[in-house]
Amino acid sequence: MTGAALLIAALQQATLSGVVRDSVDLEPVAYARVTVAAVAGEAAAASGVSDRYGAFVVPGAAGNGAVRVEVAAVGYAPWTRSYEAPPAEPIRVLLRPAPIGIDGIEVNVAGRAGDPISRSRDAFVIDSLLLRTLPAILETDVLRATAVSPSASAPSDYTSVPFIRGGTSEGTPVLLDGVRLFNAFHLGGFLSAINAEVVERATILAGSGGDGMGIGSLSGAIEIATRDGSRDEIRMAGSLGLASSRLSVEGPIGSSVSYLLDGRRTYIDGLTLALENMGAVSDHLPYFFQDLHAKVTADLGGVRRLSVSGYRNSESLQVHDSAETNTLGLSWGNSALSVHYRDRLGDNGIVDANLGHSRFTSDLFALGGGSAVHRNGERVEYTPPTDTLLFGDGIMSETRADLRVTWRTGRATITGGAQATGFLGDHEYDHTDEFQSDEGFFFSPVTLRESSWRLAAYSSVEVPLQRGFSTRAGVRIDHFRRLATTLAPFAELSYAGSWWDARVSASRSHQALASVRDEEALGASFLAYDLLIPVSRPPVPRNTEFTVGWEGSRAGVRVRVDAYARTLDNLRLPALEARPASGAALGDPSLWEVASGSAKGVETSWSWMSDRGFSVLGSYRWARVSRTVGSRTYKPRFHRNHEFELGTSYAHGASSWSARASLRSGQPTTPVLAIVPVQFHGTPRSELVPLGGEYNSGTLPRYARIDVGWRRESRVSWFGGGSIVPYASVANLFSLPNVVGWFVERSLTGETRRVYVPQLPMIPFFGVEFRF
Amino acid sequence: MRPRASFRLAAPLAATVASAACDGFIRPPDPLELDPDVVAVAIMLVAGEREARLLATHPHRQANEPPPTLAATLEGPGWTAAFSDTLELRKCIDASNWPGPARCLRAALPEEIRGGEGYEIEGTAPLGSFGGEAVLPAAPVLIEPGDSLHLPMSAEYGDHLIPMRYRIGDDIGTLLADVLDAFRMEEDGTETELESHHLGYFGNPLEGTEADTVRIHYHLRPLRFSLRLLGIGWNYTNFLENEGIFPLPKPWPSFGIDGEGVYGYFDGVVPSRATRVWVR
Repeated sequence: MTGAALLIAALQQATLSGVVRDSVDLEPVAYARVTVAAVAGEAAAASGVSDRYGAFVVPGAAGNGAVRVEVAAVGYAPWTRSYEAPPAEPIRVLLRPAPIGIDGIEVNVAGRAGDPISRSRDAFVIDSLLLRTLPAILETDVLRATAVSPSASAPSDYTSVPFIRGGTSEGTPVLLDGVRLFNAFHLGGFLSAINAEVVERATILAGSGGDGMGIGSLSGAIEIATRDGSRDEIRMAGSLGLASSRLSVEGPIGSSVSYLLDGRRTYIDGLTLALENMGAVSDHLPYFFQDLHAKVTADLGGVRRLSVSGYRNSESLQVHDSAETNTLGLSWGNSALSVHYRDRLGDNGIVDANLGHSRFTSDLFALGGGSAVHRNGERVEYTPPTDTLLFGDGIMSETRADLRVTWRTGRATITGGAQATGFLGDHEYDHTDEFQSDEGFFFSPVTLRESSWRLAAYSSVEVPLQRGFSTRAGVRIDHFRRLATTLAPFAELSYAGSWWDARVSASRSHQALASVRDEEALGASFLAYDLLIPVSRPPVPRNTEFTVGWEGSRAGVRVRVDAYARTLDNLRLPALEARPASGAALGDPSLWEVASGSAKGVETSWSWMSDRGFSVLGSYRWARVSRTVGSRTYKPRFHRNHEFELGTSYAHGASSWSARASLRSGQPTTPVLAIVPVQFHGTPRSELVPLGGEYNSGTLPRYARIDVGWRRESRVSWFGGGSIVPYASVANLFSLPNVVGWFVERSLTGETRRVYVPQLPMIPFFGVEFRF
Repeated sequence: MRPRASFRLAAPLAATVASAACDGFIRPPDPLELDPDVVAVAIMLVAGEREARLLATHPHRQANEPPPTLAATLEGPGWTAAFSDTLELRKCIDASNWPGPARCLRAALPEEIRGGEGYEIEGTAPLGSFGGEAVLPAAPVLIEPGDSLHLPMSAEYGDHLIPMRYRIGDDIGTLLADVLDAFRMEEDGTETELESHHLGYFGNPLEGTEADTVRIHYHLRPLRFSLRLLGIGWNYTNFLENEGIFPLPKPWPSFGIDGEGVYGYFDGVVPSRATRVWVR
């Protein structure tokens, strides 16, 4: 009887789907809450949340009679519409931008703009609002902004790519519009290579379960989504900063297509050349970077859409001698192309198909052996350099096809997907002993060529249980060519209370890519570049993790606590050499050992946003991380036990002020027991042998830093109206002397000293952004 | 906020930044606070000699402070000898920038030091006892040149290159060329004795496993000298390989010395036969 009643009720239910858009520029609006309720009767309302493309599917709506549809999203006026019957075709919801008191609508929408912990239980979401309220380091930087997550830890001030929960960068792909972007930064890693002007959001997936199942990596992912181009009119935005300028142009093509084109070019080379010509600096820096991104989006009706995103960047350092002979050339860059197609699958499903290709190339050479003699400023003798001291080139590429179906029934949400990924790594670099520029600090000669592919299928289902409990469970199966077929399950049990929820989960993931980076080398703190190569022999690197999470929101304060424990197996790591700090940052993983690692920690984050323009975002993280290579277990050099971050921003009128404070315990280092002199036998030459204790059993001095920023938006009437936003920021305001390492030095007076390798000193930055 | 108010906030910020900038940008070096009673010990037995020398240094103290006081004995095959005599420091070391106060001790031995033989050392230092052992390597075998070698005077300024062929065992960690009994023949027929460093730098190990080339500096006048190989064991080699600016984490390779607050090496050097070389 009960079953018959349920069947009848099910048959009487309808599914509402559609897309939520901004009414001005028609951009999709994510995280909008859509509620469908019967106008008459006692049928329970059904609700859903729009995804990153603004699409929603709400099953379980009353199938007979009139319904009222309400849509709410932060920053928009509520949208309400009544229908005689639930529409069978997808509806289009246009939300009108409106300043809304943030606290007042908190209960209605799935997230708060600028609040990274409110939008996803699986991730931290950095939206464009938060991106611009953080103090700029050189310029607004999307990768640096991800460090607001307690799961993300910056290994040094010089690298913008964070490490996630004790993992390293090779386990955390940076995805741009769904395709992996290799080495997504410039200036050795200091500045991310993605134009912040076009970023809609960056999502930090800390784990391998939930949304992370579709990634298949060891340590989550950083997903960067660019926005669609404007659909109403041609717009232009950009910035002029200390190091580079950015420009984006976007607009509609016809009624259903939009485009977005943006680029950036540094003028470090031109600026330093001008300073050299003026006598302000002795040598100019012949270095440049540039990047270009384009995106075209076609709205095909309803939830159907097609977007194509292309990206290309390049960097180059070209040194010439006095006769203009090119003596040092370092060129590298990457390109990426992704295609995304979305369609409706039946009444309740959405299918997403992605195709992506990404490619990184590099080309290095250095010449030596030449000489020049100058008299009175004139070159009177010149021997061109002909000895090749450094040479090499490399390619790595990834091609990926991904099909994903999301199916919503009355109670359950089912996700299934299939992926095929091909990877090529081909790197060959060599240098002679005479190549003094490197001195082994950054890389050692490598010859690596390996290609591989991977097939994967995954599925998960989310089912609400009784009394506030719900569960998610799934499995991912990977076949790694010539290696293994692996199984990666995921299970989660969660409970939702009135103002809080909690969850416990377990998951596993695999990845068959190894990195050339040796994080124990001091040079790794200054150079974020990585070369990846498929693992050629089993076993496949594996991550197993358990997490417990709690999240609550009261009186505008939102708190999230996550505890995790994870083990990393079958990593490829170098054996600890005599003095790991002096090793090359980029080595040869084919020579490395099968190793393991572990990490456990507790992450706490909190946010508070007032309706008077004041907001606070903070986090504290405690963790323990270790690596084991052979019989030796050690704490990796990049890890800090404690990290506390506090960011505040205050907006008043057109101005906004922001500050960010970081307090962190010191990174590990090897203590010194004795510094013993040794004489070279038979000669008067002597040197020092610093004898240390257990590897990384000591700690560097604590880390403290305060960044501040200011920006002010002014309306102008130029080019038909727009705004200009001058900004200024200071990194490390009090020039607190943070360090990344140290070494022993004996001074001329005979004193033996500890000389520190500094982190970022105080540096002011300024620039101006504009939008028309 | 109105622009004027905005600038009112910006002014103190700028002043704060400017004042902070004057304090320097980076953390200054710290003096390393290390135990001043640590003793560095260097013992290099020389095959063929009937004495052993021990260099003891307080490396973490100023040079004007008292040198370390320690008691040590050397144990050979069937005998024990105490380091009871104090020698001039230059008998142990000729480095000019040696850190800390040092003492050179000598032990008179009942027999010559022999290659391939094992020796042990025991002693006490300010922070505790120490001990160690070293097995001297077998002597390297010089194959070429033979007993003598005649090189022509070159018309052009340039090093004399002397190819050497040899055979060494795995027990040799460092193989050096060594020049001794060097004389320059003057125009008046007399001979002037030369320090070996006038003929070249012999501190870099020979790298070939079976052969290598030795460079002898060009002199305007004819020369004669003896050339031989020196084989040194792995304790010294391990120690020297770890000179640098970054601390060597434990576990350390063997240095031949182990003890409380005593660090250094205990090893031996064994020469090959010598070849007489004439440059004329």
